Amino acid sequence: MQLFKKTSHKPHDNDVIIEKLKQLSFFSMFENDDETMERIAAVCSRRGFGAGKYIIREGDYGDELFIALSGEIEIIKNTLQNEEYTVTTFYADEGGVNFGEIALIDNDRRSASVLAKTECECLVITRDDFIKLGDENPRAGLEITRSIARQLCGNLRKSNTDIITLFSALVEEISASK
Amino acid sequence: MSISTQEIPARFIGKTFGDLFDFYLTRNRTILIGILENTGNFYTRKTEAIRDAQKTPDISKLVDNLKYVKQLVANMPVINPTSDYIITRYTRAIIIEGRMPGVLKKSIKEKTNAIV
Repeated sequence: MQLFKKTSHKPHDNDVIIEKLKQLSFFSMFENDDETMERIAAVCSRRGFGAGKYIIREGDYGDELFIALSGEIEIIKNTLQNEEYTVTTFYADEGGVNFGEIALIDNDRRSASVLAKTECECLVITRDDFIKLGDENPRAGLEITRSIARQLCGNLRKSNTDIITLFSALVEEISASK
Repeated sequence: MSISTQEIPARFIGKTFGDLFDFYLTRNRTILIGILENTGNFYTRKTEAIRDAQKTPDISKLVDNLKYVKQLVANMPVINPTSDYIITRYTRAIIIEGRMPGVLKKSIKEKTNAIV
């Protein structure tokens, strides 16, 4: 069964794609660089998802970055008992919504599921295309990778804070127990 | 007069203590004085609370949730909470039920006997 429909974009769609790319922190530094924007847009494919379909599933391996063009998207995680809960909901109309950016750098399991709450359309960039883009345009590749690295640094700092929070709770618990 | 606990009508779960208090006022000779929390099978209550506590990506909130679960006490009485206290599942109402005055009771009994 086909879970999604892949669509290629026509030249006149480029304006829509470029406008969306400019909303993302990864690409916004090229907003006045039409040539680079055109190159990035060229590696994007459009993919549609029906309402209720998973765009990404937690635990699956993935090598694609998704950028929401339209629709409502829900980020879902599982507890240790494998019970789902909603982390947050995004609306593509509200600006640059992207997910799966780590897959452009590393081949690892997805840390959360992404569900199309309504019919959605996404731009998709594969890791191979991203690497090829960087090889052909080292400056662009470096800037985008730096931007992803900045986001990862933010995630790492938050993880460090979380570890300290958990460690403090553990120490408090042990101190309180007789 | 007697103090007893009663099952809370399902429609009051999620409503306030004030709403439930008003409900009991409309009933004859009953006054709501508090709530008994975490009634029934406490193991089930705690397991359910632990499952719910994990449903957050915020680690600080997760720790707070788990601390709250640890502090759960079976059949915990909450006497005269504020009117905005929210009634949760697995709670019972603590009520004072009035009795008819002895004289009136006797008089009714006499009347009943007379009819018989």
